[in-house]
Amino acid sequence: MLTMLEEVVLLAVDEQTGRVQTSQGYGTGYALAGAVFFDLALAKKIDTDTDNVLILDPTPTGIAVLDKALLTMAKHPDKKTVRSWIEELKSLDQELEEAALQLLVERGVLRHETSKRLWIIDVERFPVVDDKPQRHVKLRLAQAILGDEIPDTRDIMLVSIAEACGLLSLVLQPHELELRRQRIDMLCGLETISRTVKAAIDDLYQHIRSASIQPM
Amino acid sequence: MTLTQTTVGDVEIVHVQGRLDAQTAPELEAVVQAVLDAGARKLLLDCQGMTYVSSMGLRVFMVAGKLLGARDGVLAFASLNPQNSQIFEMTSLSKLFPCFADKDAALSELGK
Repeated sequence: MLTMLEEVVLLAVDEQTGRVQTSQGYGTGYALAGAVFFDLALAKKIDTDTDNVLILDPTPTGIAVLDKALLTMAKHPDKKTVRSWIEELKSLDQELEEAALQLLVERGVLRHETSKRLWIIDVERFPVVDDKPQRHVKLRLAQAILGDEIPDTRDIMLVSIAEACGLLSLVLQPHELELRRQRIDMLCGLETISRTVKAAIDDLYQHIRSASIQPM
Repeated sequence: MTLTQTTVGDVEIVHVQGRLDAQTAPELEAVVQAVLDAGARKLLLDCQGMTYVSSMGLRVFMVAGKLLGARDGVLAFASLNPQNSQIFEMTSLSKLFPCFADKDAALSELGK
């Protein structure tokens, strides 16, 4: 089974071009940090309440990128809030994305290609080799949003991270997203981690907006 | 955490007392699963003595609600304290599941 981090990054890979895309670049780092949190929660390594993170079990999961995050958290028990850890892990966004892509290549889901543009600029692409996992992720997202029943915990987490990354538009049409906006908001509110990721992204955009309208 | 179980009519009631967190959530999960395995379609979680609930505890509620929903059943909650009511509002659980002021109010509605 793919990790939440892999599923989110896989969703962002364009199956035609092999390029990693996102429509909400600034928020993606937070969303990837949120995905790591969810992976650790699903592995029963951490628990959260409305504000705080509790380390339950600092032993490794066997997945290097998650274990690095878990070890860092275990070393700093004084830093307790979900928000402070989301901010901390967000700074690793490039590393998280690269690790997820590497895992997907190792699993045979993607292939890593590099080429040169204008003879000097390195261009990386990750063409989809096995499209079943990506189709499965998209199907689960669509079912969780368009259905009325309670989705699986994993799918609730996936919806909230895909929403934070601006990736839902790759799965559903704009009119479907508009029609199901209440449902999406409800699913995103169910988990502390999702609410914190959303709050962090909202604050970031507020900060960017404020900075852009500062008088000269 | 202490869990006690009673039955009133066709409503199975599980009284949850104490902290529902990562350590205790599996206990509630097992009790709920046993109730469902016995064929229950109406489950009331009486949370009068529930002093704390973590994300892992909330996920047990979600799983129980999903399983009951799949058999046209209902999961309801009673006697949430102000703090837990706030959590249910914040997480929209109060939109997903009926919540009642107390056990009697829940039973009069669920028993219909």
